[in-house]
Amino acid sequence: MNDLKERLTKELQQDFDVKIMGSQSWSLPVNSIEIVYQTVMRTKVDILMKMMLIAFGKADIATAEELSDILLVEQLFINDLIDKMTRSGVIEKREGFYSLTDVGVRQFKTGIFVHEPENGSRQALYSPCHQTFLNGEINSIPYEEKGIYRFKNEFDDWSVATLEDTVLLDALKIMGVESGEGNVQIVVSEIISASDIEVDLVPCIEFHMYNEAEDLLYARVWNTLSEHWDEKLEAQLNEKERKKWREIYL
Amino acid sequence: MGQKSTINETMRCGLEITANARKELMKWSTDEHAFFSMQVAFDVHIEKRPNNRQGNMSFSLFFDNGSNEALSKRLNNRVAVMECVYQNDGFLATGFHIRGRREPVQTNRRLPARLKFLVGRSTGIAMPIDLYTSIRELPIAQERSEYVKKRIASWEGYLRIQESNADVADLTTAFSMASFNEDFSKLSIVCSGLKGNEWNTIKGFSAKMKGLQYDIGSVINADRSKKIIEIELSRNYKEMARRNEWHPKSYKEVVFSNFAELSQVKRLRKGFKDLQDGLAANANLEKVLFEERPVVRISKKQQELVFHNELNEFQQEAVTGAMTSNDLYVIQGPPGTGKTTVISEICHQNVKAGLRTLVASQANLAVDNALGRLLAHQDIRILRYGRTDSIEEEGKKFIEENVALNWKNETLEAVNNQLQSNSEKEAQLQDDLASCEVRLGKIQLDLLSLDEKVKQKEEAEAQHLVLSSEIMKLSKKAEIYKKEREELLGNEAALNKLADVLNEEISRLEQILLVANISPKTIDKMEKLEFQLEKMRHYISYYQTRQMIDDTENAIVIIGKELELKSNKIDTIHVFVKQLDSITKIDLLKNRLEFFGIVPTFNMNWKMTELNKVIDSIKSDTTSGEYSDWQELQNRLLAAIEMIERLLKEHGFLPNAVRRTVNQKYSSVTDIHGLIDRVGKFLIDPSTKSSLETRNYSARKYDNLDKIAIALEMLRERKNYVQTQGGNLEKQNQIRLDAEKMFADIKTEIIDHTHQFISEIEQERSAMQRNAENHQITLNDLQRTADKLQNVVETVDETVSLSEVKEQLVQKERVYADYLDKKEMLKEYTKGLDAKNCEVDVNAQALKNNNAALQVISEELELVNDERLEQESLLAPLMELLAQNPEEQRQQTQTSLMNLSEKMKKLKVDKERMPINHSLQEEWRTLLTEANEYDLDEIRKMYVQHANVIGTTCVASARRDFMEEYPTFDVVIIDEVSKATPPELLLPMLKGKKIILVGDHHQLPPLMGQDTLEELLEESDNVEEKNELEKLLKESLFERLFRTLPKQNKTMLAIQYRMHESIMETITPFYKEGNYGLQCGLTDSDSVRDHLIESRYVQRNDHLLWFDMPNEPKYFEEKVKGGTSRFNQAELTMIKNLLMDLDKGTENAKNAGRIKQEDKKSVGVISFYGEQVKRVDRLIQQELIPQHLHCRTGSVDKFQGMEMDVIILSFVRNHQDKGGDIGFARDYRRLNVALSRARELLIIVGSSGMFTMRTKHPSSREMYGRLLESIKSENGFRNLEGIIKS
Repeated sequence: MNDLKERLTKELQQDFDVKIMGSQSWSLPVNSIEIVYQTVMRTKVDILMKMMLIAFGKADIATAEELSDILLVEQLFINDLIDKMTRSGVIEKREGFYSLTDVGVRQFKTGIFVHEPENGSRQALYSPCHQTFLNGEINSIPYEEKGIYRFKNEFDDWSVATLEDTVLLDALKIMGVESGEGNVQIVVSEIISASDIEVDLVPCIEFHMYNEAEDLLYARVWNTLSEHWDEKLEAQLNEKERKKWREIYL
Repeated sequence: MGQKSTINETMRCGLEITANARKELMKWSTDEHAFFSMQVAFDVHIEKRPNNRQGNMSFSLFFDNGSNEALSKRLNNRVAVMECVYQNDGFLATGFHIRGRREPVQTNRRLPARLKFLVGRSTGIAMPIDLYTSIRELPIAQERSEYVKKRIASWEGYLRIQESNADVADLTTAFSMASFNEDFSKLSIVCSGLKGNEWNTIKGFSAKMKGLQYDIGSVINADRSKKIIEIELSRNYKEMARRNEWHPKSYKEVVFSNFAELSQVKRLRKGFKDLQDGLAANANLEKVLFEERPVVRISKKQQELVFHNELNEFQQEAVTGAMTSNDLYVIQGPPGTGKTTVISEICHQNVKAGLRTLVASQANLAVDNALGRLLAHQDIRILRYGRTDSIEEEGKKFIEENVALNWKNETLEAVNNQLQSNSEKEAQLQDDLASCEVRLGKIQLDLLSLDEKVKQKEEAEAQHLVLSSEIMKLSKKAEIYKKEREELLGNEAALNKLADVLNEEISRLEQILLVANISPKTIDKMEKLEFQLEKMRHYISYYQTRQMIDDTENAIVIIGKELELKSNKIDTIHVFVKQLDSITKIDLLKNRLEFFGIVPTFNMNWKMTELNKVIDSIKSDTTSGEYSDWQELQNRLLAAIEMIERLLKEHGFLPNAVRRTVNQKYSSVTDIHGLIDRVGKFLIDPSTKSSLETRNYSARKYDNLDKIAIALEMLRERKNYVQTQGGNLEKQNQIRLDAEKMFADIKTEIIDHTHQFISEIEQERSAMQRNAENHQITLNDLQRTADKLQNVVETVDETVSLSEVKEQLVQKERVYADYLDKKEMLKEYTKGLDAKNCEVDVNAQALKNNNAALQVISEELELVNDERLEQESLLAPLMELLAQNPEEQRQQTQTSLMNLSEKMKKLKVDKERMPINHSLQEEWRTLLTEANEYDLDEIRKMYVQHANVIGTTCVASARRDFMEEYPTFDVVIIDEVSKATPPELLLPMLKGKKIILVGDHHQLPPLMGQDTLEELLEESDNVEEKNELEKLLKESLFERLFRTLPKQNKTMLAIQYRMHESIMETITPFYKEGNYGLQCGLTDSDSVRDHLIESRYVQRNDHLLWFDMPNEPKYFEEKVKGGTSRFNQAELTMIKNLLMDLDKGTENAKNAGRIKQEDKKSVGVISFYGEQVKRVDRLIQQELIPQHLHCRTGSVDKFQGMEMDVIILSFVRNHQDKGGDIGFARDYRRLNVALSRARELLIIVGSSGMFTMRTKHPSSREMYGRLLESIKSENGFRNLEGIIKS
């Protein structure tokens, strides 16, 4: 930990016109969230085309306008795809309604589920102070800090239940749960559950910088989990403590 | 599009080929026949070149490499060009060559046509007349290009300024230190290797570490004195720096390059070229841009539009105008007047009309702003084109990589909404159905009753028909009776009137007769008078006859006397005639004539005058002597001459040619006789004789002979003279004889005349004698008459004069005539009276008859009328029935029944489909939620293909990939036009079939680098450059277009919604123009623009404040060391106080519940000077950190287009220098922008003394003076303590 701090200090000191006025280290609480989900494998068919095939199979649709009203998709797109599918012989107009040809039916069947859904689960790291999931491996952190981030309390009013599915899905996507190779792809079809498993502490190193030439005071915070100067934490500290630093340091 | 009258059908066209062209063609085909049979016909674009030397029209035919498939394949997609001349009703190809694939084929100057070439000499087919006319009318491309080139040259200056910066090679320099700023957005490096002017040029250059592949960012600041260069980092390098993955210090050298700028200039230049080459999407563009009166095509009548935004009248006019106009539409939009709303509405309207729109602006921010305002609508597909990292948050979702995601999110939201409302919808459907059912029943009932009504009506109609005809008949009858009665009544009146007239006449006549009656006494008197009259007339006759007798006797006596006179005269004339013979002199003759009173005739007079003349001429003749003397002399001369000649001959003397001199000496007859005598004497002189008798020659003899010869000559000469004289005399003699004859003639004539005269007198005498006899007869008659009258008259009263009697007679005659007239008149009146009395009787009878007839008719009429009334009373109830319209009602009801059934059918279908649709929508939601990269990519492709609103910056619109993807747009909207230079504007304009410009020329003009043109001009010390800049300044394209375009191609938005009314008032002077004035669209400024703050400096009702800095050294401006920018510490302090006060005020407002806890007041602190801005920014970020304010800082220029609740404007300038210079603040447009950013509260911090008094420019003083007045009138002028000043 000290090595890291020393290295960073050195690097920061190379900046001209800038002085390090103070520094400290503390831990940022990060929640490990277990997300249980379901994936399916399917062939790659453009969703709108697939949806149209489903619709033509299930309902009596005479015009692009009707379908446009149901799917709330611009008619132009529907027209485009109807043309495309008619040309390739997937659909035809029968008794005034669009319907699937034999080719269409076959393609439709192979176009949907190839395999039964599979369940899976992953752990993702959520930082309440950032109000986002963070990228990184807890295991790789070799240090420990006793102090906790001093403004942690301000972000206490959250629970795993408040996290939206889309946020969880994005986290899964970032972790590379979905994949697609060749004509087949694996997609998350459902989030089954998300549960708060444990809280890990991520050490952070905080520096107080002063630019003499321009009379500027600001914070630099190194986040050891995501391994970058953490913009969000810096902004929080700047906003809350800048005045105090001015009083202390200048 | 202008002259582009496309010829669609294939046209046949003869084509001959020269050897040269054949050679080229054969590189691609075996021969020309094979070449041109490659395709049935070819799509070509015909460009006209200047006529060739023979005066033939010349053309270049560009073969379309897109549509000529076979040819393109053969040529590997390159463009074939065939040079032709028009000859023999067809083309003659003189050359053929191949150009590159990118060669533009279709331009505004070329005529597209599909031609079938008939190759060969004797095709005999003339070029179709349409084609011929079209190619003849084509403009010569080169000339059009030259024209555009000439006009566009006026914009060259912009490019030259940019190029002067850009034309610098890459600079590589070592740097010693590097430092990130607080948020890793900037990197400062210390360079010592740069030379003097290089510090200035690298501003704006891109920067790259030597050894890195990509640019790290661009130079935003170069401080030479500190040797520090500030680089704004690109997003990528900013991220890397945060991750501590990139250490600038590990590099040694940095490379500055102006590649970006250069490529920008290149693009601008290409814009010029494209316009020259006729590649603008709107062929009319070149004319619109450059002609002093832009020629736009006038559009048909305005469309009625349905608007999607709430628009005021001006905005509606702008949208309608933009939609209806052609070529170009210009919208002038002062601050806060809703330009973006208008743009958004136009985009929406275009989408509805199926048009593709480009939204362009000079700055990314404006593009994103405009796109961000567009309504989310499934038909609007927005695409933001440009470099991802320069696009602002509002525009991000529209960039190509995000559109699919954005589309998915929006569709998902829409589906979700629909799903949530599905159950409601179902219930609604159910309700609708039920209510329809109820209505159906009711309508059917209605229908039945209507049927009944229709039947009733039909019956009534039949009845009505019968009755009507009956009534009609009666009416006609009544009509006839009425007419008759009227006639009779008229007659009656006429008769009565006549009777009246007659009675009147009768009484008048009676009256007259009564008055004018003649008494018997008068009659008696009158009869006596008649006798008297007769007597008087006789008396007068007698009297007159006697007078006439006297006259006649006198006349007879006079005639006797005259007769005597005449006899005497005749006697004297006879005497004269006797004398006449003896008269020889004319004068005497005349004398005698006069004496005897004989007047000579004209002829005689003339002759006598002639004779006188002849006599005068004879008298004046000087030649003396008589003719006979001369005759004799001549004979003697001849004899002498003959003798001498003989003598000389005998002596054989040949006289020398002797000069004959006229010898005046011997002119009279005697003289010449003397001469002859002298000669004779000489000859007979013995000495002469002897000398001549000698035979031999001797000098003396010779001498004498010579003398004789001379004498001979003299004699000869004189002989001639004598001859002449003799002739003259002869003539005179003749004249004299003539005169004598003439005189004799005259005498004869006089005798004739006299005889005639005598006979005349005798005639007169006999006439007189006859006259006397006549008188005698008359006299006798008169005496007889007198005797007779004397008997009648008896006594003649000689005392009464004739005139008296005559007068009496006249009077008496008059009295008697009157009496006779009167008698006659009375007789007439009596006759008239009898006639009238007779007429009265007739009239009375007629009146009686008339009355009887009238009585009869009136009775008849009454009967008829009664009958008609009866019939009409029967008709009324029928009419009531007929007035109703049950058919139409039935029709309507049937229609609504049908509609209703249709609706119910549809509702039922809907209801049936509800579950299916619902399940489909749910399925769709699932699919959308699960959509992955692949799906989105497909959507993206489709979306991009169908994007109909595309946003980008002006310069980016000319990027090659964009040009290829979107070569033209139906409509190009350019926002913030005044911020862009004409060359920048040209780029998007080239792409638009219609162009809409939106801007405000009262706001700041474009920047050239960091400065405006004015600032460049101020800084420039190069005369040439100054001239160039001044030229550019004069022509603001937007302003000129707005001024010169016709009314239907422009509009001004006049209602602003941003500012509190009193803030608006500060900028209204800038927009005052004619009857146009800026209006405030806020219904109640005080309530909707209430800033809700109450603090030490600011009260609730304050909207406009000026905190006045004294014009004293303590408050003066300062300049940064080594820089040009300025700051003002005193104003900074004031701003600090103000911000703290506002923060506190906002907190109080929150506590008082006026402002929501989570809200912040947005405050912008702006200044004319960058250094001041920087210091304010530091102040806010580092010291104040206000908790309740959302602060933003920036220069006035940067703030253009933005708005804030509160604006604090710092003037900075404050000094006592002589010039009183206020620098940038002088430009009214900058002040306009500065004043128009605030919604609720505008606070000025600056020195009023400096700006309203010390500054030397009267216009500046006036401008700021007006501002001060405006603020004072709102009680907003304060001192530093915030106390109201006046």
